[in-house]
Amino acid sequence: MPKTPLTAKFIRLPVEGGRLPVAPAFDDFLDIRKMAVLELGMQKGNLTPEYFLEEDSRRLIRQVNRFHRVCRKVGIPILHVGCAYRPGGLDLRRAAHVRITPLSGKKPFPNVALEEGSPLCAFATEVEKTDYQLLSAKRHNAFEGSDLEFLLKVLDRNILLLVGAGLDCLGMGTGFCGMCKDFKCILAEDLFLPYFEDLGEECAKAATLFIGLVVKGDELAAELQAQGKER
Amino acid sequence: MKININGQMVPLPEGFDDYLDWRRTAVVELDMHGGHLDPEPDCPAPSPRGREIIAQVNRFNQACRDLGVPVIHVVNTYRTGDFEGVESGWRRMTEGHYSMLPEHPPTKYYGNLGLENTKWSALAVENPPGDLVVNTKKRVTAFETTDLDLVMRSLGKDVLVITGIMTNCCDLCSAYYAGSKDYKVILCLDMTRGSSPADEAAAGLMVSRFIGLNTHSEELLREWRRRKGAGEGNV
Repeated sequence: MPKTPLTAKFIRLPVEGGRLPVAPAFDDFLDIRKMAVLELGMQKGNLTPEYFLEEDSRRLIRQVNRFHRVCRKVGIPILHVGCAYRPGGLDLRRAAHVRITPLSGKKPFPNVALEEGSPLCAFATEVEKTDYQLLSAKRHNAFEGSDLEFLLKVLDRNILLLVGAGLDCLGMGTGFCGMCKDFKCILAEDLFLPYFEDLGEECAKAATLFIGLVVKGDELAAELQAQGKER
Repeated sequence: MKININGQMVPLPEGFDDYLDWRRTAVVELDMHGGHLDPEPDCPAPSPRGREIIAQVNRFNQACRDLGVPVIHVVNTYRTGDFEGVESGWRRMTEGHYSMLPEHPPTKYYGNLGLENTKWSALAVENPPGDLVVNTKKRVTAFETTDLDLVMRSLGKDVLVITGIMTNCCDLCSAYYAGSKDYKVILCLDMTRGSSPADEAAAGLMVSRFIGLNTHSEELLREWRRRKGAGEGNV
C-alpha cells in the first residue's frame, strides 16, 4: 500500500478531481527495488527555443533534477536516454517522423542534428556517476534499435518511471512499448513536457487507460522518500 | 488526396507518392473479433462503438481486395487459463483502479477476452480466402508476440493502413510501434472506433503529428483507383 496520499489520474468514470488514491492492487508498481527512471529527450539540442519555450525548458530541467536527486537517495537508477545519430544522416534516412511532423508546421523531434560527438547530445539534466547514459535510441520508441531492454534486464528493473521532453512522441512511443513488454509504467505527467502543447492532456488520458499509473511528480517523490526511509 | 492536419482536411503536399502506392500496401485491421464486438451481455470487453463499423470495414476490405491490397486481420488470442492476458496494462489499470470504487462496470468477463477456440477470439468481419490472419496478439500492440513484421516483410509491404479497434488503444499503440519500425503508416480514421469521438480525434492528431497520414477510407480508395487507372504499376 502507498505510504503517502499518492493519487493517480482516472478518467473511466467521473470521480472527484479526476483522481483516485492509488489502490493496494498496485503495490507491485511501487517497489523501489525494481524501479528505474527513464528520462527521455532531455538533451541540450532538444531543449532549445526552437522546440520549447525557454522558461518551460528551464522549469522542466529544474524539476527533473530535483526528482532525480530523490530517486538517487533511495537507490533508484537514473537512465538518461537520448540520441546520437551517425553522421551523414544514415540513421534517419527512413525515419517517418522526419517527414510527418513538418506537415503540422513544426520541426521533427528529437532534433535531427543530434549527431555523434555534437555538444547538442549532452544531457541538460545533472548526470551523476551512478547514472546510466544510453545514446542508442533512434526512434520515438526508445526500445527500438537500442539496448534499453538489455540494460533494464541486467539492472533487474521492471518498473519504469517516465519523465522527460516530448511526451506525445517519446513518452507515448516508449510508454506503450514498455507496457506491451510487461514493464510496469508510471508516468509523472508534470515532469514530461509534450512537444505539441495541446496533446499533453490527451496523452495523459490515453496513458492512464492503457499504459500505466499517471501521477504527479511531487506526490511520487514523496512516496519514494517514504518507502526509502523504511528500507 | 486530403489528409487531416490539426482537425482540418487539407490536400496532401507533394512528396508522399511512396505512401500512396497500393502495391506497397497492406491493410492491418485490429481486433474486429467477438471479444469486443459480440452483442451479448457477457461480451468480455465490449466496444459498442466498434460494432458500428463492422459493415463498413467489410466494404472497405472488399474494395482493398479488389485493388489487390491484402487484408491482414490481427486478433487477440489467449491460451485457456487466463494467465496470458492478466498482466495486460489496460487490464491492470482498469481492474486496479476499479478496486477503489464501490460501483463500476463488470470486469468479471475480462478473462474470456480472446480466449482460444471460442467466439471471443473469432473474427466478426468477413475473412475470405486470400486474407491473412495474425492471431498471436497478447497485448495492445499488433507487433509484440506476433509475426506481423515478418508477414509484412514477406509480402514486400512497407505501407501499413490501420483500421479496426480501438483508435486510442491498440490502433494508436500499433501506430507508434509501426512508426518506430519505419513503416509508412496511414490511419483510416473512419474505419476505426475508440472510447469516444473525442478520444478518436486525439489519437488521430497524435498519428498525424508524429507517425503517418490520417485520412478517410474514401480519400484513400479514390487515390488508389486514380493511380491504378492512370496505369501506375501496369508494366
